[in-house]
Amino acid sequence: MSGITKNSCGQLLITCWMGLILLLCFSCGADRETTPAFYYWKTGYRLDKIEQAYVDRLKVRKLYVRIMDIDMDDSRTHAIPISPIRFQDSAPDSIVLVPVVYIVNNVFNLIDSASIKVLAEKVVPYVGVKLRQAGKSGFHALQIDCDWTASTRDKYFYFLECLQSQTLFQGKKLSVTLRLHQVRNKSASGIPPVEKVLLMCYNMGNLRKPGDHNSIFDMKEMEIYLRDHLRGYPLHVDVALPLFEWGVAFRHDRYIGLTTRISPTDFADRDIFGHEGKMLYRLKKDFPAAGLRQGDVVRHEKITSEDLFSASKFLSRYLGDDSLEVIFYHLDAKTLENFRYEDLQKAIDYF
Amino acid sequence: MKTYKKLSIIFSLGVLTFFAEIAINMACGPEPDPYDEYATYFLNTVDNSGYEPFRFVMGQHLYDGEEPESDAIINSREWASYLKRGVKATDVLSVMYHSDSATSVLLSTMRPMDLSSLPDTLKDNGFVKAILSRKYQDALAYFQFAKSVEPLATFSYSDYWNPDPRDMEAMYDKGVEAEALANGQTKNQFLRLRYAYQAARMYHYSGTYDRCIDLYESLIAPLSTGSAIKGWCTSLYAGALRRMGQKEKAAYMFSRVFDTNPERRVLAYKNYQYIEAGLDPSVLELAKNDHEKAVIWAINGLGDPQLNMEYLRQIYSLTPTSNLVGTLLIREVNKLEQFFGKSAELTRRPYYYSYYWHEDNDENTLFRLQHLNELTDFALKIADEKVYPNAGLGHIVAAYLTHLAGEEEQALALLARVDKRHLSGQTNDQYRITELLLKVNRVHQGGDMDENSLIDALQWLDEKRRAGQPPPAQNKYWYDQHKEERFGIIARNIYHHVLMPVYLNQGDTVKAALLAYKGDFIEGDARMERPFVYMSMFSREFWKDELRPTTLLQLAQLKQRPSSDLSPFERFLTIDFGAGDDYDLLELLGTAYLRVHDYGNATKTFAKLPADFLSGFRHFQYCASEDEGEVYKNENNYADPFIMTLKDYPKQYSGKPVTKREFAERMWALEKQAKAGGEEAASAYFELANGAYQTGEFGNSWFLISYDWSSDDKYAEPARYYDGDYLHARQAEQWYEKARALSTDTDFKAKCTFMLAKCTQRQYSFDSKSRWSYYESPKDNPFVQWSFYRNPYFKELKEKYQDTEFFGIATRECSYFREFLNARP
Repeated sequence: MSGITKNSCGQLLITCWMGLILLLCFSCGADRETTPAFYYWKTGYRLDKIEQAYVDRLKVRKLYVRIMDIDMDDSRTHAIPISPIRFQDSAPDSIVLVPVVYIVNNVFNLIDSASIKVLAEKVVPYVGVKLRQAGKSGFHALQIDCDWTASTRDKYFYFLECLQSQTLFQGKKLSVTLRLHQVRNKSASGIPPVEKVLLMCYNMGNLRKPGDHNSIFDMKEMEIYLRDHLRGYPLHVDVALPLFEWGVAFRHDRYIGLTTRISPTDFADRDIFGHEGKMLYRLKKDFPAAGLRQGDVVRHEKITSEDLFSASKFLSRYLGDDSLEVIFYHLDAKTLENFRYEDLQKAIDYF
Repeated sequence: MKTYKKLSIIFSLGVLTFFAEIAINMACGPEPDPYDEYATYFLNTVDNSGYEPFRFVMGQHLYDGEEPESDAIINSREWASYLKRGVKATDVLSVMYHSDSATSVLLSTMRPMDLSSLPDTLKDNGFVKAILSRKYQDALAYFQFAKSVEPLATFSYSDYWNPDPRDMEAMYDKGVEAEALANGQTKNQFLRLRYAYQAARMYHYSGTYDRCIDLYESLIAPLSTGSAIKGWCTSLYAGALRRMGQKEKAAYMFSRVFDTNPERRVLAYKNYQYIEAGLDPSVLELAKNDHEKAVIWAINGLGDPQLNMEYLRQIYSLTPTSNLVGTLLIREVNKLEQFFGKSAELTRRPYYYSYYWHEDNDENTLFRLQHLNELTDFALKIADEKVYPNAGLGHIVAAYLTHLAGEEEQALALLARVDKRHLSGQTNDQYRITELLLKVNRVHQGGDMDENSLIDALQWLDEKRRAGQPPPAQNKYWYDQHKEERFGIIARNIYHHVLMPVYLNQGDTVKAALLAYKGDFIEGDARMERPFVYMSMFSREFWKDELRPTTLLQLAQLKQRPSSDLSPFERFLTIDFGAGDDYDLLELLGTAYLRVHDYGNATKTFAKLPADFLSGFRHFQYCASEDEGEVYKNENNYADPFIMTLKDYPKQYSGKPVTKREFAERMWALEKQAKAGGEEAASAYFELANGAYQTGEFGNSWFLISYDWSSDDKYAEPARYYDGDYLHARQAEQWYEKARALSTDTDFKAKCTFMLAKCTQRQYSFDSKSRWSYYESPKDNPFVQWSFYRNPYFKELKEKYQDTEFFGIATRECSYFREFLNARP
């Protein structure tokens, strides 16, 4: 060992080990408690075998159940429930149901503060009764889903305060959904007056723009919106990841609508579709089942397991170290066919 | 911080502010009335009876969501006819559909012959008296049963927030009960059908679709009756079939309801569309005859917003006498109006619905022209074959389409073929409108405008629009307040978009202005007291943005001239023109003088107005909507047009208001002072220049020469006669130049040079590239290059005035100038 003393060799070794330990510390994910959950987003509640199997295998103990949408009635004067859920099955005791109410943002453009208070007073008992229809004694947490904007922010936040100030709501927790733009534009979007938020990591691209992009999920978009903004978000953040797929239809390069009526087999059928680019399919003949015509282009947008993994890895770096709920959107047998249990578990484990 | 980062921040803030402004403007702006924006010269009411909801209008799925007829009235008529004994349909209607809850409760417990306990309001009601008579005990029993069904069948606002599911079991039980009662009515078909209807809807609402289907097929379908209630049952049956997955049959049954029941026509149409059966051959195969096939073609054609002849061809070949032929023919004409003629020019205005939807490539243009020609041929075929009852419509359509294609002589020849003796009222109206359109063009193209020959037709049109005016608008929802104003819209379009351009082309702005006015008001309209308040946006923009002082003076003089001095056409145009006072016109004239820098005449004109007129004028107090909200809270935010501002934003204010008259007076005085020469003149020119600069869209006093302001203005191309000042600071530039040339004070010259740089910056013409893409590479952006780095006055300021005090101030205060100084060569 010419030139190197035993002492200096030891120092080098210690330094290397310390470096390695430090490296491991930084490279490992945070030691956070991650809880998996699903959204249930249908108008009738009844789990089929496949859905139940995913709940069991992933040890899911919590379902976020859409109770209703709220929109204005035809006269545009009253906010009313739209398509409230019907519980065709009771939820088992082992599953906690978190009711979710989706409110169309425009509602807050059209009603005044007095009506907002009345709306809050209607929502809480309504949700309570719905949960009892599911065999639950009540609910402990409520989630409000609304894509609020700078112009509706103040009214929406007032609504959230009204909800929490009700006697019937005492002891319950309120969370709200958060879109990517609301993370980045904190000053315009504001911070909602709730304990925690649920970051929706989907619907991040321009749905109506023609082209070969995925509007449901785009890692680049997510990075742009979150990289410099998520870590400093002042509320506890849980995350929702997408599992769904759809077809985005265009006619003469104009968006004409969404369709879920085209199966993977249809997309693969070369007599029906010509495949262009990554996700684009041009119809070779009319497709009446989806209301489409020859020449229409459908962008088949879907999520892969790899997408979920990269989202989990990315988000993991910017989320707090305490507990975290990861909610998959949504619990639906047809949607789940595209994912193995192991892959969903792996996506959770990356956090 | 590096330069590009600073620039990036500056531009990002700029872009953010810009888009926020647009978002605010869009959010605050009213939703356009689709009927008001409807660019048409062809009445969509011809041959349209029963199909009113399916007239064509851009941007809406249906012209009108209301059913063409009322189910309540139809049912009331049937009851009145059944009970006879002088029972009126209105008696039935008031009790069965419009009674309050107390009356309903009372009637639901009444016993036959129990007239004594009736309140006064019901004692004389023929329907109540009839069903309480001994003869109609069964009718009373049915009425009371129907009332017991109501709570299960109807839905109110308060029910929406009832979280309990609908009581399906109770509905089903009620359905069973109703079916039994229907079966019990073996001799009374009237009540048998109605009980069956109650049963069908209870089965349907409770989700027992199979029972609904069985009931219809076994009990209702065999009934031979012309009652509308059978159609209502068919509708429930079709819905049940749809729920059970029998889509083709469901679609066919809905098409039958669409045909036979106008009071359920929209409902049937919507359901047909939900099924998405389209023209599935298996649906067409279910049709029993040509008429039913034609209805299936119609239910598809009436929902198609695209140009398409096929529905029309099929329906005409199957049922050539059906008024569906006329309905679909006029829909196609109204669709084509988006692409041809004067109506098409309207649709290309930026705020029109279809502006964003039309693609004007060669392929589309060719297709539209081909469609126009095919439709013309088809219309002629209808006219020649004379099988369609209103065959004359064919020649009118053909003439109008030929006119749209620009073939005026041929259009006249086609119109001459119309046999006017056999035209119905509406068709005759369209004949006269088409005749007027062709006449305007013929007169115009001949060069020698015999305008007096138009008076009769225009007077007729005015009378038509007066008669077609809806009742006072207090109960009208403004979104569709123009829905019924067919003549009003066509007349306005003829005045504004057919006649006005003719006079503008001739340089007769006075008559063009009167036509704008005439298009908005009919003789005797009380709103003419304050025409500028009630004018359409089109006319207001024309009057306020386009008319120069000479035209406004002529218009003002026209009000004073005796009618004997006027030509018949001028007399027609100026009826009621002088109805209101002259103040608004004088205010506009004074403003027009300000715009052309004739401050002497502006002062004299404003002096004719009452003292408080201008001080109460809108915008007098600075409207700071484009600035921070803080400004709103300060009541003393008056704009001072005579200050020099290093930065245009944020706006600077003073506590003293300056009216248009005071502005004119001060500018006039400064003009006189400027003639003196020397430093005094330099100072006067500088102040004049400041005054002119601040009236630009970028200044604090734009409202002195403009009646509106938009965040978009900065990108606009100069089009109006005062845009040189409003958009490009041209006059201010000249006066700053003069001030600089006359002065010997270098610090003052530096100030002038700096302001000249600002004027130069305002003169940049944006294109789509420089407007939308500058955030990608700010430094290379043409606007930045123009206004910062290649601004000749910045260069002069740097080279000639470095030692002045002002140079230091400009460097500290103006980040743009600093960017210029710091830029690497």
